[in-house]
Order: sequence, then structure tokens, then C-alpha cells
Amino acid sequence: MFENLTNKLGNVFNALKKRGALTEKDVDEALKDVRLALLEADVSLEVVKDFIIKVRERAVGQEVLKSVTPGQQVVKIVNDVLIDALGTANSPLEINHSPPVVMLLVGLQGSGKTTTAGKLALHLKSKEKKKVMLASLDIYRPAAREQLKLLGEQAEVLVLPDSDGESPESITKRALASSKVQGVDVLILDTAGRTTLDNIMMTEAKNIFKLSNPSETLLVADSMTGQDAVNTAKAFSEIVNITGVILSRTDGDARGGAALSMRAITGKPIKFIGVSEKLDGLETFHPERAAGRILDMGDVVSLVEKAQETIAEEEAEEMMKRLSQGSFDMNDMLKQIGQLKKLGGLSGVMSMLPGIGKLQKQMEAHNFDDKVIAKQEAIIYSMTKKERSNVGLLNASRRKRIASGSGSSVHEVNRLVKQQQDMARMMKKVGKVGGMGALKNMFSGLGGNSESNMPNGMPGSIEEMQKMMGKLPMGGGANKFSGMGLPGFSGKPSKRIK
Amino acid sequence: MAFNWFKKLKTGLSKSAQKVEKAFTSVIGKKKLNESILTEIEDQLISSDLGVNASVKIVDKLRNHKFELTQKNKDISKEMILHVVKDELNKILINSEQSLFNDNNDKPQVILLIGVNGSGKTTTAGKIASMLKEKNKKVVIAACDTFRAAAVEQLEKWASRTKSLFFKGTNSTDAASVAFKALEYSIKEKADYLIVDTAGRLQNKSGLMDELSKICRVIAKLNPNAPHNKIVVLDGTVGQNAHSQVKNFHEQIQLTGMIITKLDGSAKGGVIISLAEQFKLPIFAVGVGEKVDDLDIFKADDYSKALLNLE
Repeated sequence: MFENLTNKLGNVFNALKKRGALTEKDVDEALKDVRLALLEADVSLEVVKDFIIKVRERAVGQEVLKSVTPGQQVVKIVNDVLIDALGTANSPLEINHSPPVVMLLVGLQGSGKTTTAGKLALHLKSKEKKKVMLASLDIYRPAAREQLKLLGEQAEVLVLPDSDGESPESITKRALASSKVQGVDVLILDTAGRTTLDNIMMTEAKNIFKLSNPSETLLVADSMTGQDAVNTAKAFSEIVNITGVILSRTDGDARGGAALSMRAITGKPIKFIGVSEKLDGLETFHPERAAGRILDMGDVVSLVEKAQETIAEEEAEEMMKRLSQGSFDMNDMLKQIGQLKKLGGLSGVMSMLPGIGKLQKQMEAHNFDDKVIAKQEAIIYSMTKKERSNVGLLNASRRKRIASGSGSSVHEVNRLVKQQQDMARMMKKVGKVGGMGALKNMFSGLGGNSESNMPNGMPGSIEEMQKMMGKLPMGGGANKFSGMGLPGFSGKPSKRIK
Repeated sequence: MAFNWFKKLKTGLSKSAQKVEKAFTSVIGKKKLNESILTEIEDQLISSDLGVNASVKIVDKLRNHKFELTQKNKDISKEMILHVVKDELNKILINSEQSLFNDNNDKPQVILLIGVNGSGKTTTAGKIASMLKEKNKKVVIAACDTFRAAAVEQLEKWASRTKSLFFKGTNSTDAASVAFKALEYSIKEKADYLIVDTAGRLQNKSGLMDELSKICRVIAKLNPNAPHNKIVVLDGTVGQNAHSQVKNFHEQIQLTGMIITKLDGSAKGGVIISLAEQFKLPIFAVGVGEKVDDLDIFKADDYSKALLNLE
């Protein structure tokens, strides 16, 4: 019965053969759909074009995973490039200058500046413990100043009092003077909405910018913006020095391609997103979420991610096969080191093992750390391909070359070779007899975690340590003994970590 | 007035329309529209927010178009191409030319303005009042945005600017009840028109969408024909999400038309072309500025011309 299962699994893995590299044709075909998806998500055309070029460069020639189509593979790459392009998740505000730190909000009419000003004020007051003042420079829209005043009252921050007949420039000066006098930490200037084609209004924005010398000049943009996002971003960037973008109304159902356009054109981070009409509806920006929404191909992306996991499993399977045949060479060892690093290094692995916490401390005390692993990796990388698959070639002069190539000593090279050979022997043995017995021995060897036994149980060298580790969870059938990480570890690192 | 609007719209659009013109300039002297030029045109239409489908459709028409070349006109000129595009746009948009104002005896005519936040409902309410005032109509403006800070004050200022009557709720947070009382008041005042401004709402918030149905239901108790017009106000800078907006608002309360605002900026609002085609809705007016008279009736030909920078 088990045999059948194993065979079945084997067949599955056989079906998932590598497809080779992505061809230009594969990529171009897939990118047609991607272009459409991005345009329908309202990413500006010129940004889409640049983006497609970037993806194309990244994608052509990449290996296609088993079980996914080349098109799906490209979508995954697009998703990754998109996340990169959207920037980082946490771009804090510049608020640590000498007070009053000025924050200037600019944007088109109806983009959400005033509401955002209120939200920012609340955020700075409650999260950053700053003394905040709001000032409205919008003398045009009826009741704009009343609106900001009410929001300021809700957020319980200072609001610069109105006075009629004042120009925005003169309100700016008054706001600066007033916030100095009142010991305000952050002064938020809410400006009137303006179209970018309105030269008089754009000049006004420039004047306000010069007068107030803001630490942050934030472009507030509606996440439902269409192709014009690129014009808006360009025009405001030319007039004032934009330091970041705030995207409003992301709680709508727009796919929000404007995020990518704004980010690409300004080159500045998206600092916040508006997520509700309420005053606390301001959140930091998450590029993965934004990317998922823009591309709207989440199912494909997760499919490819799954395939990536599968490929790791399959690699493990393959290696297991080799191990049981006793052909464990330096290449295998290199892979193991790679797997081990994925698991969070030696210490990461150790911390996952039950009852080994105390041992871990002692290991640290014995200088048994991840640097050893890095060094081993370097040594293997300094070997030729032939040497890696056949350590028998390693004569004295080759070992000397490897030592100098990897910045280690011949002694260390020797030690690694011996270790590899020990492991190969061990693998062969375990592969044949199945691991249960060995596992039992291992645990009895650890002496039931009795601390007094530890110094004795403590392996004297890395070789011994790895030998012991090698005996760990190999439990029985070939399937389970998919020997990654340190030998004997499950080949499904991601699942282990969870 | 129409001329004024066209002029304003044209100045608004000219900066961006120059880009379109440039793409077409390269066509001069060539006898056939080759694929690269068609792609350029498609790109420009996409950049005007027409959406991919609508743009491709228009370009397909252009591709199949047989340009009549005469002895005098041996080459396909820029004007010829632009006129073909314009004609295609007009074919779609001409059905959307319709007057917002209806002088029948069912008074007061109720105009309900709805839309997402920041699309320009309140400003549009003020501008519609101003248009009606020019026609010597008696207008009531009702503030049913009981949520946003200072929304009522904003509308009140528009009412006093346009010398309209103004109605607001008394400590009531229920928009539907304000609308009901506003209509009672308008009937009592023998007003010709009642303009109801509502709070901005995103079309995916079902609670807020239900509130719209409630407003309509409650108003209909006083006059089964009211609200006579249910107009979605769209921001001219909006992208393809406008489809979702119109679809959802239409499903919720059966829209009677659209108004598109902020066309004095660099955005062209091209999404209305496919909206007009898909939903067969009139475009009552376009907003082209912040001033009280910066709203005018929609003219398909003027809009298409302005979009393509044609004289």
C-alpha cells in the first residue's frame, strides 16, 4: 500500500518536469494580458509601458516552474516587480526637525486633502504624541475652513483661527508665527484644490511652499484617479518638492493603478492610504496588497507560489533518492547549507527542535554559529564543478588553492571534506535501514536533556554535531527522509517554520 | 453660453490635446494609416481614459475607414483622421445630449445629486441653481449631507450666492427625513425646482447605498414621480472605476443621467464615452471651473472637438 503511494507520488513529480526557460514569445504573450490588466486598473499608459519593459527584462530567460504555464510564471514575476515598484511598506513622516515641522498638503479638487489633514493631525497627536496645529489656506471653496476647523475640533488639535480677506501666503506666515508662539510641534497646512493647468493657482502653491519650507510636502490623490494621475504627479512635482503621496478612498472598489503611476512619476513613497471617512481611517501603505489589487491575478500568483513550494519538495525528493544511493557529494552539501540558511540558520533550526534550547546556549558558548556555515559554503564555492561532484580529486595542491580561494585554512578544507564523507556514509546507512533505530540512539545519546549530562553529550566538533543532527527526525520510509537542512530535516522548510 | 463653455472647455483641454495633435501630425504625407499610427491613436485614446475596449473599437473603425483622396487632397490629412475619430465619438455621444430641465407642471421638479466623495456634488448643486436662476426659476437647495464636516455650510454659501432658498435639517442625522421635509417645504414655497445634495458615498458601501434608496422612497411619498432626476456626479479625473460607480448607483436607484466635473483640468473624462454607450444615460452637464457659471449643458460635438483639439 505504501509502496503504491510512493509510486503515485513519484509519478506526480515526474509529471512536474521543468519546462526550461521563458522565451521572448512566452513573455510577450503573457505581457499582453498584463498590459490590459494594468490599464484597466488605471495605471497610466506611459507608466505601463516602462513597467512592461522592466518585467520583460526580468522575465525572459527565467526558469518556468513545473506545473505552471509560462504565462502564469510571467504573472508571478509581474507581481514581484510590481511590489518592488510600489516601494516600501513603512515610510515614516519626517517629523524630527526643529519645531514647528511643517507639513504641506497639495492636490486636485476633491482629492481628499482636508479630510486627510484631519486624519494626519489625529495620527500625529495620538501616535506620535505631537502638538499639532491645522491651518487652512483654502480661501476659495465655500466652508473649506469651517470643515477643517470642525475636523480639528474632533481630533482635539489646535486650528489657526480664520480671518477674512487674507491671502493664502499671508495665512501661511501667520500660521508659522502662531505655531512658534504656541510651541506647536507639527503645523499641517491644508491648501485649496487646484487644477494643474491653472498657472495662477500653481504659482500660489509654489509661493506657499517657499514660504513654509515644509519637511513633508504630501500629494493627496484619489485612488480612483485615471490616466491623469501621471499629469497630476508631474505637474505638482515640478512646482513643489513632493516628499510623499497619500492615496485617499482606498476603501472603494477601484483597483488603484494610480498608486503605481504616482509612485513611478514622483519617485516618492506612498506614505499613507485613506481607508474610511472616519478620522482614524488612515493606514500605512502595503505594497503587496496594492499590487494584488492592481494586478487582480491573485489566484495565478498563489498558484505559482504553490508550485515554488512543490519544486522545493521535489528537489528534496530527488536528493533523498541520491542520498539513499550513497551519492552525497559537495553539491548536495551546498544545497543543504542553502536549505539550512532558509530555515534561519543553524540557530534557527536548533530553536525549532524540542528540548534543545539549553544545548543551543552551550553551542553559542562554543562559537558554534552560523559563521561556520557561511565558511563551509565559501569553501565549496571555491571548488570546481568536478571537485564538487568528486572529492576524490582533492589533492594537497587543490586543497591549498581552495583554502586561499575561500579565505580559510587547509585544515578547515580538510575538515569539511571529512565531514562530507562522514555524512555520505551516514546517509547511505540510514537510507538502507530506515531511521527509527538511529533516531532512538540519537535521543538516548542526548541523555534525556539532563543538564549535567550536557557537557558530555555536547559534540566536540561540528562534524559530530552534524552527525548527531543527521540522525534526528528521519523516521522510517524514504518519503520522510527527504534530508534537507542538516541531514535528516524535512524538505519542506516553509511548513516547518509555520 | 454654449460658446463660452466650449471656449473654456477647450482651454482646459488644450494642454493635453496638444499631445493628441502631435501624434496625428506625423501622419501627414502618408497615404495609408499604418499600424504604428493606429497604435499611437489608440494609446492617446487610452490616455484620455476611454478605456481599452472603447479605444480599440474606435481604432478598428479608423482602420477600416476608407479615406477619400481627391486630386486636391492627395494625402490623408490630420483633419481627415481627426474628423473620423470625432464622428465616431459623436455617434456615441449624440444620444446623451439631453436637457436637464423639464418645464412641465409637475412642480417642484426634484433633482437628486449623488456620487462618490469629492466628485463635486455640492459645487454642482450650486451651479445648477445658478443656471435655473438665470431662467428665473424658484429654487430650493436641500443639504442632505449630514455626515461630512461643514458640508451643510458649504452648500448654504452656494444657496446665498445663487439667491436660492436653502433647507437644512434640524439636528437630524437622517438624510431621508431631511429630503422629505425639504420637499414639503418646496411644495409649500411653490418652488419650481428642488435640488437635493447628498453625502458622498463609495458605491461599495451597501449601508450608504441603501440610504439612497430610502431617500427616493421617502420623497416618492409626497410625489410618486419624485425624484424626477437622479444624477450621478462623476469626477473628470476618474478612471475606469467610473464603470463600477455608474453600474452600482444605477442598480440602486435607476439613474436618469450623469454630470461630469473638473474638465478644466488636464483630465479628459473619456470614460463617459463608454459609459454613455453602455448605460444609455444622458450627460446633462459638464463642470469646467470653480465659478458659479462654470457649468453648461453637454454638447457632444463640442466635447469631441475639445477632446481632439479640433477647431
